[in-house]
Amino acid sequence: MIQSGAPVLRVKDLTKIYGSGCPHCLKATGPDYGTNICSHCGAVVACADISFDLYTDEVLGIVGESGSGKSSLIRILHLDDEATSGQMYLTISPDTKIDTCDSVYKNKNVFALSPFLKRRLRNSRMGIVYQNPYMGLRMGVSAGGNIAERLIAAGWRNIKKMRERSSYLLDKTEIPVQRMDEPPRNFSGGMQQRVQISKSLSNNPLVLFFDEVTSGLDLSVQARVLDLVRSLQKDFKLSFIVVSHDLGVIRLLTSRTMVMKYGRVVESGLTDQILEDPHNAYTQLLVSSQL
Amino acid sequence: MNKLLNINGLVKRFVLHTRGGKIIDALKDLSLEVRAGEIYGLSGPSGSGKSTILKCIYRTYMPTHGAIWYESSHYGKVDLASLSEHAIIDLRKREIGFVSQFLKIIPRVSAVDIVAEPLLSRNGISPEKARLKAIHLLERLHISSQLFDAYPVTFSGGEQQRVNIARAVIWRPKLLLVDEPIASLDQLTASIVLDIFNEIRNEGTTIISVFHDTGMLRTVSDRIYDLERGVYTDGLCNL
Repeated sequence: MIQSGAPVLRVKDLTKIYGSGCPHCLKATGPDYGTNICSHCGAVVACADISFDLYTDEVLGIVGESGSGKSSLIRILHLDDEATSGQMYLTISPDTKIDTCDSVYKNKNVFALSPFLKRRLRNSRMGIVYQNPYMGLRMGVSAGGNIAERLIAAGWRNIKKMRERSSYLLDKTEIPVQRMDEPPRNFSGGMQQRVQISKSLSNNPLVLFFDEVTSGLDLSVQARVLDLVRSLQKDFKLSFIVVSHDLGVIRLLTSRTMVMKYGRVVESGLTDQILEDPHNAYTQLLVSSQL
Repeated sequence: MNKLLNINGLVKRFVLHTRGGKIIDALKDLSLEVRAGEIYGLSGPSGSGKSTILKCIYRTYMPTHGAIWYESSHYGKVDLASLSEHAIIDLRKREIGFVSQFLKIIPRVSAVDIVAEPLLSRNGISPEKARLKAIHLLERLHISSQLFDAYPVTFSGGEQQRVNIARAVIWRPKLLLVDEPIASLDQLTASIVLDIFNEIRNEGTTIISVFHDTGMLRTVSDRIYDLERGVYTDGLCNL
């Protein structure tokens, strides 16, 4: 077995059940039963026994129909929500060490950390872009302020430096820097999405989570956002997890893809293999439904 | 000569679940050896599995059975059929290239930058130098200089194909898989492409190719593998 470097993120048997849950939940749901609602207790199984590795510089795609558990998974990984069971490990290579707490996370199950350490880890090492900008931004606070919020949480204190960082990132994401003191409420949907991207990048994260970043944007803005993501990946050597129902986006951005249905990963593989040689019945249906 | 690839008992079966589990056997027990530094041509009628072989080697298709032993500079001898996805991605960056019939369009990236991109991400040379190399290659392939900074989405089929070829050969992969690279090119440009293939072969790239045009196949290949009969036929004289 060949190993070139440890994965940045390792997820093992992640399970998320909404509701009381019972011993039958996992066995009574899934693609074989055509549902993710447990027939015994009525709980919803959003994610069941999900395991994967994410390597440095890699972009992993997640596709699946709505309700398949994609966003639940992303939110759990970003520590917005708690997993019912499972583990997650983050490997921080010594040369990117910035936070004094970095050594605390080593070989520790992130899900089992204290809320303080989880928050600290999220603020200093992770970034997320939600499908809905209202979830990721405070619409009444200036764009620059939104970015500074994350920076303060990551331990920054110098206003001048924070403003410099904000204007650098807004410029990178093609937002006119003159508008950095305006609240995102005044911005178009595409611009709000780019402010979110700036915010997610502000703390030099190890891992970025993108939840349907381009859905609902018009084609030219979508191309601009995708272009941006591609160049950021090259410039900053980031690892990404990209959730999308658009197979074109997945093809363009990702090298590996997981296909989800009823809270399970029904198939995973190289993105071109998933798109050209899908094995699972659902993946075949999905791929053959492409425009 | 060293063996670069040793394909052993390769089987590729497609099961179409959306069509009631219909089975298509694209490759049944194929064994094949490829030596380093030569150009191989695969011949056989349409549907005989020529592209399937290339895609199995590149792992766009997951082989159903069998082994594809590959002599990697970085990893040593590995079985591409069972190698981890992570290592395959790495090999695609370091050693194995693929030219398909179609260009993978990247929105808002100009022709020159599409061609230069593989050099930037692989060899770490300066962007200016990479662009110069890309321009040189595009000029050689008779792409008009007006198009260098245009977006290939608006290009003709032949122009897109040449951009595609340029992107694949610019970084000199150790193994290059080419699937119908000259299908929509005129004779002159096609012969330039073949010249380039010969050139990179002389610099050490091994090429496995599928050509629709048997004349071209015979001109360019050092060895031709006949899929129907399952034997090598000599490249230049025997056909």
